[in-house]
Amino acid sequence: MTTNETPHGTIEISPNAIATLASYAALQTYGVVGMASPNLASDIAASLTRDPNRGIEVRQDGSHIVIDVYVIIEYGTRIASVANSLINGVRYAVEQSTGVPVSQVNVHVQGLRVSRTE
Amino acid sequence: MKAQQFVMVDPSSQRLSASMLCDGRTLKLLAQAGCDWLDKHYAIVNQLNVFPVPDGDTGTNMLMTMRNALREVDDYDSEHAGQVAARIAHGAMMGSRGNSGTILSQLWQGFAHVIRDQSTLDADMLVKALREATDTAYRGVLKPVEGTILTVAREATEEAEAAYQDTWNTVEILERAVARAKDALARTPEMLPILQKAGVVDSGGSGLVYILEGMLRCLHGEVIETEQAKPAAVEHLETALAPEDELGYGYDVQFILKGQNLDINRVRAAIDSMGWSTLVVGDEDAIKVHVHVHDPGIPLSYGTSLGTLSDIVVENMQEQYHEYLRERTEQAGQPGRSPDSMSGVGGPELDENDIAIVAVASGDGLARVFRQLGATELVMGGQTNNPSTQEIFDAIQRVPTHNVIVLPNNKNIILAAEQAARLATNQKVIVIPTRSMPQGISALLPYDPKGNLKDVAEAMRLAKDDVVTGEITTATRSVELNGVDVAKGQIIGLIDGSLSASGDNVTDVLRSILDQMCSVECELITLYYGNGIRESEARRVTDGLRQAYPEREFELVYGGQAHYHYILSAE
Repeated sequence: MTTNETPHGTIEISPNAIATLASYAALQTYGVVGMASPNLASDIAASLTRDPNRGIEVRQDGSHIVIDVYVIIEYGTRIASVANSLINGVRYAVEQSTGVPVSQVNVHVQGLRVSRTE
Repeated sequence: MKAQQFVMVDPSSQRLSASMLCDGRTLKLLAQAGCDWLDKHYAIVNQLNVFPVPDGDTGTNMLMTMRNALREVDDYDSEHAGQVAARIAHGAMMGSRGNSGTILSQLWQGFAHVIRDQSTLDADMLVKALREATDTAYRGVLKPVEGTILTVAREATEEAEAAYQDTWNTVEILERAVARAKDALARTPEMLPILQKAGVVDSGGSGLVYILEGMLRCLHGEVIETEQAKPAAVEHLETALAPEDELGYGYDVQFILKGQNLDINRVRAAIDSMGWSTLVVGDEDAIKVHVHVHDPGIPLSYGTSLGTLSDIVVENMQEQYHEYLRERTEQAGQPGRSPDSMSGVGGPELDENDIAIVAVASGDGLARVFRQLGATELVMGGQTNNPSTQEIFDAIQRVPTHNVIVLPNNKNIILAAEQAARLATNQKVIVIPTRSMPQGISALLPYDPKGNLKDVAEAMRLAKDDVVTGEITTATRSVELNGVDVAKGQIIGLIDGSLSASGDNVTDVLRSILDQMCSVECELITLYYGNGIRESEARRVTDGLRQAYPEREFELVYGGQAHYHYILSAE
């Protein structure tokens, strides 16, 4: 839970809300054609939220947020470029909407989709 | 010069153009023309970012993608259009940068896929290839956003398909497609509210229009002149701090050498042996030479032996030295932040087990500050001209040590610095992710060249956060962000990269962000004034601040950075 004190009250932003923002930004990134399920064995305790449908994990690291994104990328794109755009897009969307600094966006490419078959 | 050999179809000869076939060579020329036209305009594309600070890089990314694509066909001469397209597509994919660059590479891949077995292109194949280009690009994203480069590509394709119903003339089809692309671009703000809010058209779409327009201009027989070899951003520091030796300061010699099949490595080696502070950049047709020598005749004669010279500049550096002395005296008269580290101009001598520093500096004044604080090598670059991975890598290679710490000093350069660090496999390189010039300067304070690399890096990493960075610049467009309303041309203030104040004059904005920056205790505020600000004006502004904030200490230093009137560091 991310909390922000103001003179007139407190703003709390749930990891779920952040995951939705991140998911939306991820799906808007060029080259990302789907979200994937993260490996359930990994790091369950540290995860504040887990929504396998969206392929996003949000964790808190002090006053910062760490976001893990599990995606399927279109075959034929340069994965490094797509992943960089994804990191920038997710960070921008979350910081812009919540005002909470995102310290890390980790991209996990879980698969590639081949659209053209031959 | 090159392009004149490519006599394209004469548009007046209807019969010829109607049956015009595009072979591999023509396709390569068209792609080159598209790249060249984008090259002339990529700065405009960069300006189309939705955030009002000049840090856009869409144009650069697309240009780099096109250049990487064309590198694949650089020495590949084939008449087979399909094979040329396949190579271009491959190059675009491997060299794609950024979102728009990736989409551009997908367009090329779709295009190349359709014509892979075609040795020539006619109107029918052209239209089919454009269709597949668009479809491939759309397949690359789950939720295509309209009002982007995708829309521009799609509408251009639709228009080409419609035109093909009326004519088989490929030139005419492309003319209509380009006109429609421009029209679609103009409508992007209606489709995407964020563009409307920022008052711009889509940057990626704009880049695509320039590429298509360049191709069309080439088809019309126009020759697109590209600029001469641009002076590289890398500047050896000796340029600013020429060493004194028994022969005095010598001369600064610059010229552009034009010739044929010039071997840049040989020229560089030859020039390097003549003097110091060598800078040799260019290609096989034109090379920009910069060197400091005792006898300016030597490099000039050498240049004449290889080709013709233009833009010759010879300057007596004794005069420059006097100016440098004057500036240094001025700086010494100000309260130094750390007298010990300020005294050693040029940094200590390093042996190979020491730690060297490679820092990115965005202005000549800031370069001098970094140098005085012990930076070993500098790479010039900043907000709108980020240095490439290669330039940072070259700087890492120039230092004489195994251990290197890199200070990117800009959030957009951190990635390139990290890539450069990975490339430098013979050295241990650590990148401290400094996001601004003041952070870099602060990080340098605990720098100890004789220390343990990990410990020094950790100390520097912590030190970078000891300062708050303020930046004052002019908004490149109107926008409303973080609750701050900005009109184009207004002065805006940023604190650690976020828009925090706007106003009509620099002093007001300075005060507003000082108030916000110094909510926490801060004693010393350093102002680095940019290359657009006169020293007298900067002094006047600083004196005003001293009166307004008597409890704080202000230090004024020439930064020389572009775009940013002032960079503030509060500690």
